[in-house]
Amino acid sequence: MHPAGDGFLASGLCRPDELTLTRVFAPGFSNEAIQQVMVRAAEIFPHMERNRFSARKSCWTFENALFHFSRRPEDGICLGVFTCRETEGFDAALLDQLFEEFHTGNLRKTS
Amino acid sequence: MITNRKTALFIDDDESFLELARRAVTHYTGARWDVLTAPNASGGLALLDQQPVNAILIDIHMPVMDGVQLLSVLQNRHPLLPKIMLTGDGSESSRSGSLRNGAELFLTKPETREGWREVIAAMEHLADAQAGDGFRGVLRKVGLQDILQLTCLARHSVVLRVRSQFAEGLVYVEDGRIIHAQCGDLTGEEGFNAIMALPRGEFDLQPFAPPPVQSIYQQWEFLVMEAARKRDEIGEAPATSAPVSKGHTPAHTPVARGKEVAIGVPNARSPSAASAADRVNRALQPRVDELLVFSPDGQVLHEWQSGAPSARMELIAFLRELTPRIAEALPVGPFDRLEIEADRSRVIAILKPERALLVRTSRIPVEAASR
Repeated sequence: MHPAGDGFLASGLCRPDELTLTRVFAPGFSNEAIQQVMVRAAEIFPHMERNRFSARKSCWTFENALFHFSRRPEDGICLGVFTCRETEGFDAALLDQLFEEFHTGNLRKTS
Repeated sequence: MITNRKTALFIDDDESFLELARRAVTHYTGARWDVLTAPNASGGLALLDQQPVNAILIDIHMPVMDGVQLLSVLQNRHPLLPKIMLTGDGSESSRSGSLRNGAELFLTKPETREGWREVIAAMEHLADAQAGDGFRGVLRKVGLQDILQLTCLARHSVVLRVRSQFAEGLVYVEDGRIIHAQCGDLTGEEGFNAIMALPRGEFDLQPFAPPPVQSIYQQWEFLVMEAARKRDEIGEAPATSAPVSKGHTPAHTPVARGKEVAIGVPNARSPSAASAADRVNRALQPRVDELLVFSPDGQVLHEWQSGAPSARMELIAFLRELTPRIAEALPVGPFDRLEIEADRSRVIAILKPERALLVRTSRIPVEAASR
């Protein structure tokens, strides 16, 4: 996975069998918690299918952080990234690149 | 001579009824209404592509594409067009199906003079309501803050007009950014806060028109939060019977921090300064396709154009159950909203303790939006 940039708090990759890879970059974020969140958050996709929301990416806004979450249709692997909400110093392009590489498959080769 | 002629389109596979409609509407309206007719859905859609109409009246039972199916198509192509279903079948399933698919009224086919007068009165009423070219309403349990949130999150361009017994205000929102507000003599953030502090009233959402000046540069989230905070500070007692003016500023109205700059000067946002992406976005008009408001226990309080309310309810319930657990496990704070981006649409689910909102929007070419 990519090294963290400014404002990146934690990230995780979760397979359909719930095997999860996580990295944390900020205090208060534990690998165990990220793993649980990734597994539970992936349960949103059946809801999205029932609602016919064909989402490439979703963004969950919390008071102190954003959770960017996406599933790759080909293999069902999910990528989740927690970032800070402040835009100053945050490299949005890096985040976009991360998800772009995730969907094109390049992330799989480097992770 | 100024004429105020209106046009109605009747779609029915019964040619004799169409002829009767043409005669009756012309006769009872004193020829103030022109009547177009089509014997089927495709003919009606073709006519709508050729010229605008003020009301459309549809027979529910037609071969190939029935009236309810046609309503569904019309909701996509002509969402603002007033639609009246006419039928001899007044069954509850037909009625609910019609109203769910966007019909404003579900009426029995007129057979008497009184019946025709009722239909014509309905046409007149709906056409007059449409004439404002926007929508208006009073939302109970849904505040001004919610309306602004929805508008900004959906990146709409509108002018929100708010009226109360104390004052009248305008908030200009362009591409989801609040760029100007005026309330009495107050403008900028001062005017915005005065509007947000109005204790009660009603609003109109008007099509966007450029404001006389750009007076606000703050992010909308900040503005809305600041206005809410200031209103909380003064509690629920901002009711002054005097008009809002610089000489009579409500005690809770803050000092303006924004400055007024005429649109077009270098530090104002102008088409020439817009990026290529902005120009592309400007060619696409945001459109709200669906809106639902949920109670804290997940029941639908308000539904507009939702084809799958139960599936939406399950999604909201899922978020209500999961997101507090995320907030417990990680230092992220309370959950506010979920945004789902797809190629041509955008879904936003906002969760508050007292209610939840779900809005689905899409971007359509400006030409199509203006039809």
